[in-house]
Amino acid sequence: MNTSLHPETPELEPPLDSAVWAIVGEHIPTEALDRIKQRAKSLALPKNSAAESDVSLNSHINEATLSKPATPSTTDNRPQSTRSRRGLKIGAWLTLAASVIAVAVTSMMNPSLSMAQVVSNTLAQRWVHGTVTWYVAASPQNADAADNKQENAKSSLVTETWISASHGILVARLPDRIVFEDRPANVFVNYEIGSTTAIQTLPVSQEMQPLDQNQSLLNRLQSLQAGGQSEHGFVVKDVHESKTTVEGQSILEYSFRLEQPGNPTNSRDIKLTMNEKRQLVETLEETYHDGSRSVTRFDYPASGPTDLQAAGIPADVRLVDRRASTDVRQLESAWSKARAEFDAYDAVFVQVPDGLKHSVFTGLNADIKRVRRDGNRYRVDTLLRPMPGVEPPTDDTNMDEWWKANRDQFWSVPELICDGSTVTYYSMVDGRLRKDIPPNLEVKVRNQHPVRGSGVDRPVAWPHLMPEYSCRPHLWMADVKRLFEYSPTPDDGPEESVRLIVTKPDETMTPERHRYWLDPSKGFCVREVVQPVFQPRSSDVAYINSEEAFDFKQSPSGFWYPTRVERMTSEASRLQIRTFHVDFVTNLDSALFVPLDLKTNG
Amino acid sequence: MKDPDEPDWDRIVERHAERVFRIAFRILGTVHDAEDVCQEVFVEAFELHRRGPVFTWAGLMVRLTTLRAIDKLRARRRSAEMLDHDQAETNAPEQELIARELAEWLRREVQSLPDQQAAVFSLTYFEQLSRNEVAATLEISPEAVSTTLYKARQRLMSQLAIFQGDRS
Repeated sequence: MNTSLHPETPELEPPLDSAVWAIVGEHIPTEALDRIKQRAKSLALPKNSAAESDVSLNSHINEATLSKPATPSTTDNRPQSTRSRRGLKIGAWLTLAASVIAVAVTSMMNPSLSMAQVVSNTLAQRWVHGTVTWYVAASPQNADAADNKQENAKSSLVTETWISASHGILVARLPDRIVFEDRPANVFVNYEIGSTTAIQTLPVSQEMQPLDQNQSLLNRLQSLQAGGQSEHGFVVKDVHESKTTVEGQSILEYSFRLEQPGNPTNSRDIKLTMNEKRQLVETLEETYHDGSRSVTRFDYPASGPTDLQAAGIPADVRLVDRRASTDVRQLESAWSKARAEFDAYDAVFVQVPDGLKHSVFTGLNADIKRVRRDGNRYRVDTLLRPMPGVEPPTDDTNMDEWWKANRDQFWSVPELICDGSTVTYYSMVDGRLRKDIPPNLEVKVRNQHPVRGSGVDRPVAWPHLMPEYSCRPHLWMADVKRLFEYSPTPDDGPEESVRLIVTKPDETMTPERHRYWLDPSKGFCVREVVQPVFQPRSSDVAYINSEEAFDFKQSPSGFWYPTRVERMTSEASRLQIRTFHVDFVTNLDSALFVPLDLKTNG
Repeated sequence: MKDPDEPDWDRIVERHAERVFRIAFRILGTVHDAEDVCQEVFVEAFELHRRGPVFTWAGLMVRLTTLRAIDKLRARRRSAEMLDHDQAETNAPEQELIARELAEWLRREVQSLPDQQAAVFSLTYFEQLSRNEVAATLEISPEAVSTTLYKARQRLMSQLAIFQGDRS
C-alpha cells in the first residue's frame, strides 16, 4: 500500500495502487540532469554566442546549396535556445508527410482535383524539396497576442528535406544535424553539425523508414477522404477556398481547421497554396494550439543531393562506420533467415531448478509450456496437469517421444497467441489447482499489443521459449549506438567458439550489453551468453544473466537449435535447466493462432 | 549590464531541474522524452523570466512540466516509441513483467484522460502533492481538485477492469 502519499490523499484501490507504484518505484536516472541543466542555462547566454554557432551552421548549408537549385533562404535568426532537441522532433519524413496532408485534404475539398493524381504527381517528381520554418511560441499565455509576432519570428528555426522516391534517397538538414539515407546503397549517415565525425550504420531500423511512413500516412488520409475521419479521428472544419494569379500562374489557396475531438492540443489550423495547373503543393502553413507555427515551402527540383557532400556534410568529416563488420552482417543475415524460415513445430518447453526435487508429471517445481509456431504465428500454452490415465515417465523414458504422445493429455490454458499482427496475453481467471478436481480453464485477456518491427523477421514476445530464437537473438544492428566486436579467436569462452561482444556506450548504463560465444560448427548459434539485466526502465543492473546451450539438433530444413539450455543468474544459487522437446509438424491448425473469442469460448 | 534585480537564471535552473526531470520522467517513462520536455519547459520558463518577475517558480515549473509531459505522451507516435532492445530481450521475472505492463498501462491511460484529470492525477499520485498544493499549482480550487481526482480514479478503475479482463 502506498504510504508516502499526503495524508489527506485518498488511497487508491489495490490494482490501481500497484500501477501507480510501478511508476513511482521506478529508478529516476538523474544522470541526464547535467545535460538538461547545461542546455537550460545556455538559454541565458549572450546572443552573439548563438550567432557564432549559426555562422558555422550556415556555412554547412551554403556548401550544400551549391549542389541544389536555389530555394527560399530563411536561415537567419535561429536562436540557440531552440536548436537542440527540437530539431530532432522535426522528423525527416515530416516535410513530405506535410505535403501529402496538403494534397490529400486539398483534393478532398475540391472534387475537381483527383487526390490520386495529385499524390501521384508528387511522388513522381524526381525530387521533392521542402523548407520548413518553425516559429516556436514564446509561451502559451501570449501566443495569440498581436505583438507576439515579432517574438515568434525570433524563435524560429529551419529544416530542409529532400526526398526522391525514384532514387530512394532522403536528406534532412535539421538545425543540429544532417541525416542522409540512401536505401539502394544501404547507407544511413547521421552527422551532428560541428562534429568532426559522421556516423554510418544500416538503414534498417523500424524507426527510420520515412518513405514507408509517408505511404502509411497516405493510406490513412485516403480513409480520411472516404469517411470524413482518419483513424486518429481528425475532422476538417471551416474550409475556405480562393484563387489568385501569381506571375501568370493560377494558385489555389485553401484554409481549414483540422480538429481531433476530445484532444484539442492536436488540432491545428492549416493554410496551403497549390499550383492549379501542375497540381503540386507550393506552401503549407500549420498553426498549432500553443501558437507555434510551421511554414513549409515546396519545390520540385530536377536534381538533389545524392551524396554526403551534396547533402552538406563537409568533405573533411571523418566517416565512422558503425555498420557491423562483414562477419557480423553475414551472421545477422543468416540468423534472420533461420529465425524467419525455421520449420513449423509443436514443442514442449520445460524449465526446472537443478538440484531441487521436481516433476514434469505433477508439475512440482516445473514450468511447462507448449509452444507452437508456424511462420510468423505462434502460441504458448501452459500445461497444468496430466489428465487421468496418463502414465508417468520413468528414468529411461525418451522425453521427446513421451511429450509427443502425451501433450494433448494435459489440462492446459493459453498464455499467449500471436496471429502474425497482434500478440494477445491471457491469464487464468481462477489459478488455483485442486487435487482430484479438473482445473478451471477459463482465461481472460491480460494484455494485447501489435507485433513489433516490420518485415518477415520480427521480434517475438518470449524468445527464450523458442529454441530458434534462444540461440539467435536479434542484434538490433541499425541502432546507431550499438557497437559490435567480433573475435574469431577469443581468449575466453567455450573451445572453438567465436565471440561477439555488443556494447552500447551510454552515459547512464553499463556499456557491455551482451557477450556471445558462437559455435561455427552449429550454424554460429549461440553456445553461451553473458549479459546484464537491467531494472525495468532503469540504468541499474538487477543481475547478471548467463546461459549455456547444449545438445544441438537440426530441423528438417537444416537449421540448428539447442535442446537444452542451462541458465544461471548472479542472484540465484542454483541453475535453471531448460529443455526443448521439439516435434516438427506440417499440419498445425490455423485456428490455433486466432485470438480467442472469449464471449463464446470463455 | 545585468539588472541586479533580475533573478539569476542559473539558480532557477539548479533549483528546479531535478524536479522538472522527475515529473517528466514519471509521466513519460523514457529519458529521451523527459529531456525533450525539460527543454521545452525551460525554454518557455526562460521566455517568461525575460518578460518579467515570476512569483512562484516552483508552481510554474510543475504546471508547465506536467502539461507538456502529458502533451508529449499524447503526441508520441506508436511507431516512434522507444523500445529498449536490451530490456525487451531479457527474460525478466514474471513480477517485473507485470509491474512494467502496469506502468505502461497507466501511462497509456493517463494520456487518454482529459487534461485537468491527467494533471491532477499525476501531481497527486506521481508527485505526491497535497490537495492544496495541486490546487495552487494548477490554479484551480481545492474542491475542483477533489472532484477531478474522483473522476480520474473512477475512469482509471473502469479502464483497469477492462485491462485485467474483469468484464462480467
